[in-house]
Amino acid sequence: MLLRNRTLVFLLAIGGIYAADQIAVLQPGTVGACTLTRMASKRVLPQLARPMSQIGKVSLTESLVVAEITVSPADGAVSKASILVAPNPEAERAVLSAVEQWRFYPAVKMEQQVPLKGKLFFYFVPGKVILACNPSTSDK
Amino acid sequence: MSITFRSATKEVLITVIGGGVVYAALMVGGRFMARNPKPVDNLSDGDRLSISLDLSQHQRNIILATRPDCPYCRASARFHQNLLATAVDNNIGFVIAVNDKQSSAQYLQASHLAGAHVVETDLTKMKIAGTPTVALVDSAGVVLRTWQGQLSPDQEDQLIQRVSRRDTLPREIEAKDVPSMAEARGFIVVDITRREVKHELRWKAVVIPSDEMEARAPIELTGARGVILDCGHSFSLECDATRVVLEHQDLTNVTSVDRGKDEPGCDRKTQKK
Repeated sequence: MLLRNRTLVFLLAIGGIYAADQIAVLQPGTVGACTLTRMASKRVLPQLARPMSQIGKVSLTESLVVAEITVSPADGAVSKASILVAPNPEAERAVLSAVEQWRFYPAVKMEQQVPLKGKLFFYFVPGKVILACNPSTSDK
Repeated sequence: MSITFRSATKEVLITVIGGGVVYAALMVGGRFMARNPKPVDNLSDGDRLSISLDLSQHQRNIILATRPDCPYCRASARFHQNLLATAVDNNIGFVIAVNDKQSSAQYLQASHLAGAHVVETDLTKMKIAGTPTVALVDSAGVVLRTWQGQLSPDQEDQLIQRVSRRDTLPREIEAKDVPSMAEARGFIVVDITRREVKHELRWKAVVIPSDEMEARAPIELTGARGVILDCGHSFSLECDATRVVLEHQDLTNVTSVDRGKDEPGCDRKTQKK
């Protein structure tokens, strides 16, 4: 009886360690904006219904929209998106709608696909939208 | 007979379970070990030099780690000679780090590097994994950039150009000088406090949290004559890391507000209360 109890406790302990190990692996991996942008397999730039100059502020820093996203490990789609900074609601809506269409290559940690978390930066300058860390433009 | 049988069964069970324990421990341990492999001890950007050197006389310093028996060092000797000459011309400190001063003397003499300040140190303690290693270090010993191994001609040119640049800003400036420097000389003040920390800006500043610098600096700070970092609410390591990020963006004329001589109202202890 004593032996069976010990075995049970031992098995539970091993099970607990294994579960904790798995949970640790599945924590979202927070990555820098440039890494996150590089991992995107599909990028969609936001589009405003009317030019930014008609909406309001146009200086570079003030035209920034910062989106924070979490990527699902299952299909590489954006499972959660929120806007941290936006000059106005129109820009906010445009960015939210765009980032929800982004797709990412799987992030693998310890042979398991894990959720990704990070920020994306969009600048609404007259005539165009600049994506920070865009490999085709500003990436070194 | 029955006692012996029960005792033997118990022994077998204990052995099996004991074996299982060892096996499971090895499996779990193996997973953790594989996930956290011991990092290679290598001098990296943002590190502080582990040897005691007085680098305060120059805003920028070049540390060249070399060995007389290293073929790549010998192949790079002419470039190192050019680097030394460029550093001297541009008031950049130049220190050669060697394992053994005596055995290196002849090599340094032959390579026309003997004029530099030579220090004898254990290169592995300095986290030099291979030679030659060139490190650009600021006056406080923070490594801004490193170049390892024999460089290509393009990399050599880039490094010489980098060393030839005359940056005017000191490592730190006093808080009272910030407004005048920003207005009169057109430097951009950048507050690197993270979004989670609510605070009031002390000066007219662009807020770029340190964790967003890599993405935003190439767009918002390109072409800046100089950058004044306000690291008031951040850790000093975060401030150093930001300098390294800017260095990699070719924004080299960077200073930060001296935290030691900061305004009394911005004392960190006072703010916590």
